[in-house]
Amino acid sequence: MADLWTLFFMFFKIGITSFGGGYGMMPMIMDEGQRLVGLTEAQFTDMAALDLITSGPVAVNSATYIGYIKGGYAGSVVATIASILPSILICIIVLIFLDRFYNNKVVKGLFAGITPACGGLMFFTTATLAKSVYFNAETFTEVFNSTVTPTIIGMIVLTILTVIADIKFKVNPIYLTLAGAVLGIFFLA
Amino acid sequence: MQSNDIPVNLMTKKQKGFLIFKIFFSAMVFAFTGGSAATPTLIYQVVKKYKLMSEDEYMEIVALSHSLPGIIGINNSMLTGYKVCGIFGSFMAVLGTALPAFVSMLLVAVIFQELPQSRVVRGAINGIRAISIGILFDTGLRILIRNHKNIFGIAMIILAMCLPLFTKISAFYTVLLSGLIGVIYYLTKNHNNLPAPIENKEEIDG
Repeated sequence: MADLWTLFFMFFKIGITSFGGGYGMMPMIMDEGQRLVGLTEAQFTDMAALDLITSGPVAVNSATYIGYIKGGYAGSVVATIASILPSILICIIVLIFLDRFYNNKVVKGLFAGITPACGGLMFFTTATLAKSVYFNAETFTEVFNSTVTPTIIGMIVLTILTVIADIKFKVNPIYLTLAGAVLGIFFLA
Repeated sequence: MQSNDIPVNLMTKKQKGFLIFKIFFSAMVFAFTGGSAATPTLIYQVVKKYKLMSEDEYMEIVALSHSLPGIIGINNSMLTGYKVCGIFGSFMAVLGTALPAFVSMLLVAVIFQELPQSRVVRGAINGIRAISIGILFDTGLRILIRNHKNIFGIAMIILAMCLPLFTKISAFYTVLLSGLIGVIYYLTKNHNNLPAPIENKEEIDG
């Protein structure tokens, strides 16, 4: 069990430096989660999937989930509040200085750098997840030495199909998640 | 609460607050894939049904909440609530946004933890995990596609991928560093083709 102060600190820190909503903060949730509260890649992947079938902002869902599995009911409340608080504080600042904020060159530069970086961090996250979720490996050298089972191939195929369905055919992610669960029962059990 | 029958301009501050709570709560309950899924519903409720502000005013708030740090859905409810009835409105709107997300995730998390470790459940979880990796990968892929003509953007994508992967620098410091590089880049040169925002207009409009 992680202590509540660590959970609060983790989500406040993530909230204040994340741009682009729930998916923008995913890499940081994984990274900081591993460092601060001992989050495993499997737990993180479950969180990302459950985010899609629960209501409301993904970032709030994520905080509630990590808070719950790492600190029980109290943890879920603390993590949720910590994730919302930066937004509230930032909006109050913006409401006071609205015009000056929007046309500020430093602010524009920040966005110019951080938005593409979020994309790169997403690739880092998926590489790390693929390593541990498919191969159950700690390091990338372990991946090359592991035996490839039909389950591993099945999961990789399912991931590739998801990418195509999502990017090319714009299938609603809720249906993808449900289809994944059903296909998993038949092919990955 | 018969707030529907009273015109908004005749409402007391308290009634407006509860109305804004109801609008955000009902929109968020059905926004399963994330906060931005609620945007079309919110436009309808805020602009067309209750006429709390003009469409332009609301879209300005949507754009601003996308470009601020923090949670887009919470930023949006803070700013919308404030515009309708001040700090009390902000508070009610944030509550209406966060409550469905918190309650639904807590329910799902409790159920998920209690699932028996049978073969069927393990298969379903394996399937969900495989899908989840694909969707996370796509988020990165979309940003890459949007920046494919922007050399600075692509360089930032590669840098942000390699730093945490091959060094001990955490994702948090990678974000801070890329923000700093962005500021230096923006201040030293005058650029017109800056990287596109993370969500494009089409997604905002739903």
